[in-house]
Amino acid sequence: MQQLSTPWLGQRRSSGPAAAALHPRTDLQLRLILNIGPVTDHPLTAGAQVPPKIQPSLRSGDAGRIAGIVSRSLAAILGGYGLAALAAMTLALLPGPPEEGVLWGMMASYAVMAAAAMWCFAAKSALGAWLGILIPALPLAACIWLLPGGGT
Amino acid sequence: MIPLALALAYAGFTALCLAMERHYGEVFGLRRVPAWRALALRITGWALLALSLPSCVVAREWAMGVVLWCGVLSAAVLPLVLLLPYAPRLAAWLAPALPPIAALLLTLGAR
Amino acid sequence: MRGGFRQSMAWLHTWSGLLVGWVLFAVFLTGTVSYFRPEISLWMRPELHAARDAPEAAENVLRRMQTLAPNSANWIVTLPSARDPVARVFWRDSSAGGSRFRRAILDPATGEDLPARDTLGGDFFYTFHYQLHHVPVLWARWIISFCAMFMLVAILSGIVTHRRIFADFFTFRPRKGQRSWLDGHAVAAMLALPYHLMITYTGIVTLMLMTMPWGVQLAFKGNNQAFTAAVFGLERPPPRSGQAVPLAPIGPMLAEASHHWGGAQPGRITVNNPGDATATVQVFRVDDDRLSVNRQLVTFNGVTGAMISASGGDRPAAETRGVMVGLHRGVFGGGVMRALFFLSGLMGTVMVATGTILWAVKQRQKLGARAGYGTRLVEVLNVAAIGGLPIAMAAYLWANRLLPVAMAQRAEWEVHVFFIAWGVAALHPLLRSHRRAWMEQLGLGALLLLLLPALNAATTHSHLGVTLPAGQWALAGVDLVALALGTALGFAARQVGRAPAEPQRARRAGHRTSPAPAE
Repeated sequence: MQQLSTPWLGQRRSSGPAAAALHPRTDLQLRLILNIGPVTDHPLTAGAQVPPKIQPSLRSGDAGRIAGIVSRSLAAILGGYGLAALAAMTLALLPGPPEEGVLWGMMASYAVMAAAAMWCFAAKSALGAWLGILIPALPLAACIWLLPGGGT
Repeated sequence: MIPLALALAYAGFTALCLAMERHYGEVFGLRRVPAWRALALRITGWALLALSLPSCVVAREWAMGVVLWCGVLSAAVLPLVLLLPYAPRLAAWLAPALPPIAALLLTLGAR
Repeated sequence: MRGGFRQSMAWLHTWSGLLVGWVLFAVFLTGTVSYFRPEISLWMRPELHAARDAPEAAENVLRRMQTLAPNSANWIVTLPSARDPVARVFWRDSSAGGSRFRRAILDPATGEDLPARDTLGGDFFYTFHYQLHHVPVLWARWIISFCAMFMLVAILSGIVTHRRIFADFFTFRPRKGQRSWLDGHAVAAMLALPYHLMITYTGIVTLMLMTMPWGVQLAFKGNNQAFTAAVFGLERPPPRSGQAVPLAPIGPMLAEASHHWGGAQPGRITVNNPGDATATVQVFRVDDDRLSVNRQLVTFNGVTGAMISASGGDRPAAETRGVMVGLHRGVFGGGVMRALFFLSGLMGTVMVATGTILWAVKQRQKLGARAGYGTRLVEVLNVAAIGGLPIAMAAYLWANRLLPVAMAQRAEWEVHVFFIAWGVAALHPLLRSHRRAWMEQLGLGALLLLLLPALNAATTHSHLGVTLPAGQWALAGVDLVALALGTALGFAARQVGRAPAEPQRARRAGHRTSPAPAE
């Protein structure tokens, strides 16, 4: 069965026991994976049983999938905001008039947040999402700690 | 100045649009665009779009002129996209017709 | 890997757009309308329609202020302009309740009061679009900022998802069901993509002092006043000395300020400690002749009329911020620029609306009668927001013409009418079939807007029959745009009415309809 390269989005289950005996024709597989139809009119599925809901209901793999989405969302929203705030603070400590650095930091931070949010959902795993937030955060935090004007 | 910019932008977008097979087919009935014609249409299209920028800058000075140009581009392509499915020939023929009309209005207005 | 990335971005685009789509629709529609805030405010105060700018407006107003507020610490005078032909005055008054400011509208020709009906005018829509209403101010701004960030992510992920951005640029195929909605959404998004990116990012930046204060915390040790003073250069005027000295004539000061700006017009005057020996006069430049909103002012000694200082060119970051906020507010460039912004804003509104509708149509087509509560919720919210908000906005304008002028709490009641209308429109789709709900709401919105000029004619003397011949485009424009938008809504209502009823195949449970082409 063809795998989506983002399995956390959920694999469409093949349509019941009869489908397991199907000849793996690409177009039928695609219809099933992408959940477009008709499935029952397809010559390969003639007589196959289609479950009442093609839209998969919650099943055992879903808890992990939903946990992954929640984790990524938290990484995107909270982690993204945190990373943006760190970027804003780092830029605020740039040489020059402090109010200028503060303003540059504020204006640029939202681009950081948007990029972070996109990364969180493009990453291959929820862990990858969080790492993508934490890894850039470390040098920024270090800058804030070390640069004059920053620190505790 | 601004009507001229709008007319040039419309013409430019129409040229770029006709360089595509799908839309060329809608207007002229032939699905295949001859290669040289497609290239000529593309060059003309981009040139006309670029030409609409000086009109905007003359109208509003540099910084505001560029902002105006972005608005002009959006305003010019919208009627093209809306006309294409309903009246593709009209949409295409407006392209060579509008700039001269706008230029005429400009010279009349300047008098 | 490529396929996985685009799929995940497609998922992100769907959900970042859908979860906040209705808030974004409201923000976009009220914001787009706010490009004409002064025009709408003027339209809603017919008592002011006879006012005209006058050459000695500043002198007349300041003379009146001597009698109106002689001992006030601070007068703020907004001079008349083409878009707003009256003088507006604020002054500090310790005896006034609340914010301790009083305000009045004065006739530029005489300086006399111009009482106008109590209304929020266009300011209601403008404030609503970043601050909502009935919601605590800070909460509302955070909610809007949050939604705007979602919007930014939705736009960026949408760009990534739309693989053939230029090939599909001109593609719009009407009357083909779901495909038409997708085309409409893509077209509305792509044709004004720079605008959508700009308006979203600059909108977020406009509230950045609240949402991203951490740099101030770090670099200024949390001293917001020091930061604001450093950026905007505001100074507190000295206290009154008690020595009464008449204010120097304002005319020469205005002329000198205008000369300093190379001919640009003054837009606002602030007088500190008027009538006192420590009086100062600040003359502000109009803000619609350049991109940046950063104030440019010249300060004069109020007694001698001599120029004290002029605000210099702002430093790069402050100027960048000024330009970003200026791009968002879009007050520069005159009527044509404003019309183009308005058009782009409408396209943004259509982009948001077609997005949420597209999702519901896709779900409905996929699942037919088996669609779950999520789809039904989205459908109801679509009608409530996209059908209901125009109705509410039109009802607000109707209330402005119909509520008695002398009514108590009149301004609040106009807002009540807005929310009552919207509330009814929000409940209505729960009681009607989806298609009927759309038809009825779009139809009602169309009716209210198309009849607005007639209502105007019946209730005031500033209707199209008067304003068009007189060339009062600000006022005529409100009626004309109402007619145009009403026609668009009516057209939409008719399209919904003419759409074929759902195909029989969709009603059969458990089976898909005609194959939806893979996207």
